[in-house]
Amino acid sequence: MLVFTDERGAVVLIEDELARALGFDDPDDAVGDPLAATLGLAAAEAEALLNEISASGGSRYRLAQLRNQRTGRSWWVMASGSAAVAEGRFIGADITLTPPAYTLSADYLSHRYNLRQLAELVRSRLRDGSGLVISEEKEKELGSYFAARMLALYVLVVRMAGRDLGATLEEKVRRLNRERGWSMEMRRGRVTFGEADLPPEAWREIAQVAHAYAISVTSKRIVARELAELDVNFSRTTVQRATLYGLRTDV
Amino acid sequence: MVILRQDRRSFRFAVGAVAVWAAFSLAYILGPFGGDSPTWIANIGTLLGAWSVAVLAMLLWRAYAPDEVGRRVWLALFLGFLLWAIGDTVWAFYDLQPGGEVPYPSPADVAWVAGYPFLWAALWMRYRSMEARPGRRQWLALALIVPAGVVVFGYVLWPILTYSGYDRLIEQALDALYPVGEFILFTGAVLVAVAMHGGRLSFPWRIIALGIIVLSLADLVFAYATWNDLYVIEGTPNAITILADAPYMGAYAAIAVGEYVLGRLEGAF
Repeated sequence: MLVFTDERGAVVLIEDELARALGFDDPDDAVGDPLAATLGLAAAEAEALLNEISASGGSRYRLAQLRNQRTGRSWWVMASGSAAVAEGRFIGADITLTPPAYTLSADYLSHRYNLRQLAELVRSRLRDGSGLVISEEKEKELGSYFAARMLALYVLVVRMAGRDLGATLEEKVRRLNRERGWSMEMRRGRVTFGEADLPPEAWREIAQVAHAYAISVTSKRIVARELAELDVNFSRTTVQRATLYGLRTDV
Repeated sequence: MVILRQDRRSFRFAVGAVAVWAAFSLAYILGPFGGDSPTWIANIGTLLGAWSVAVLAMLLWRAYAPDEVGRRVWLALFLGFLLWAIGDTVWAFYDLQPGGEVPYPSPADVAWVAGYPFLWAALWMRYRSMEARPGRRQWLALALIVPAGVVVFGYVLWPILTYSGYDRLIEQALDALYPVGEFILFTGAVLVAVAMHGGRLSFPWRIIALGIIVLSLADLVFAYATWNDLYVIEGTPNAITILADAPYMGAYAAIAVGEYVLGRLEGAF
């Protein structure tokens, strides 16, 4: 399970399942809180984990005790993390929490791996019936690609320019959807699709708006690198199809 | 601050800038090389800072792609800082002439005044491109900016505007323009830094804002000191002259640090 923070250790993104296990009805309620408060860790323990990640680019596996903020129930996990970087500079921590018995691979220490997890997280949300009405598997994968890209852009904007501007990005997308009558919602970076199908130009235009905004607050170089790292987690066919649909506005 | 701990080059640059500023300020106050040395030291320190800021702004401008907002922002900042560096150079030229008086207005004023619109435009473009929505922090920033504006208007601008002893309108206009220009810059820099609060880019913008704020204050002290004939152009500086000149050098050092850290984050350096 995955939790992303910004450079100060405030939660930027948390996996739904993990948030629920920690006692949050809505995963978004955990966003913005310090890592220690969200996971129920001791402040010193969370700080040590974040310091190790920011100083060395990753952390060794360590045992950590999580606590459900509502029931007080606690359980042990293995915590590891990798640093998210922009142009070599630390912009946040990607923290993975797994059961202690789980066999961990060295991949867990890479930001690229965590972007794969992010992509998988988006796929599972769409699979779990969050309202995407598209029948074919290919289109589902394209929807996952679109949602993963939007989430990655949101996380990047929050990490680089703060949560207020992350909210501005969402507001821009919302406004566009309202104006065009498209049924799609974006909240804390999470994309959910409504009942009606989105026309191809909707995907394209929304992707363009998000991409252009991320560039305007950061830079083309930083955005391109983050999206390139996300792209390797999708099949070549999906990426080619996304290019064809105009979702990859950076190419 | 986190980035200074994590990026050694940024840390070294910041330490170097502070050390150079401290060395120039100490030498300026103590005047170790005799009579006119404080004047030379203040001018050299200012020129070093002003040209460093202009060169770093140029490097940042060139690091962005032609169609990026960042490129337009940094082009405007580069032109503004370049004109200020030219203004400081012309001022130094007059100031370092033996027994020379700096005319007012002088060509230095032309360059300084011409620099303002570029700097205002740059901060406006930066703020507008972020499309920040008015939030609690923005209102809080405005709550700080408005009283500062009242102070500037009441203690600096109003006496200038109501003074009837000016021989030439151009002098009165310039005296009024400088505090207004600085106040607009101060407002823009604070709003940009506040909009990015919590993000990685907020730290360098905060440092740049801090530099602009210090610059504004130093200019206000200079305006006050010259208005009251307290500013010492040649010889050992008095307290108010030091309060105008040492922060002026420090402001450029802060802006240079902010630019460098931003460049490191954006991958420009």
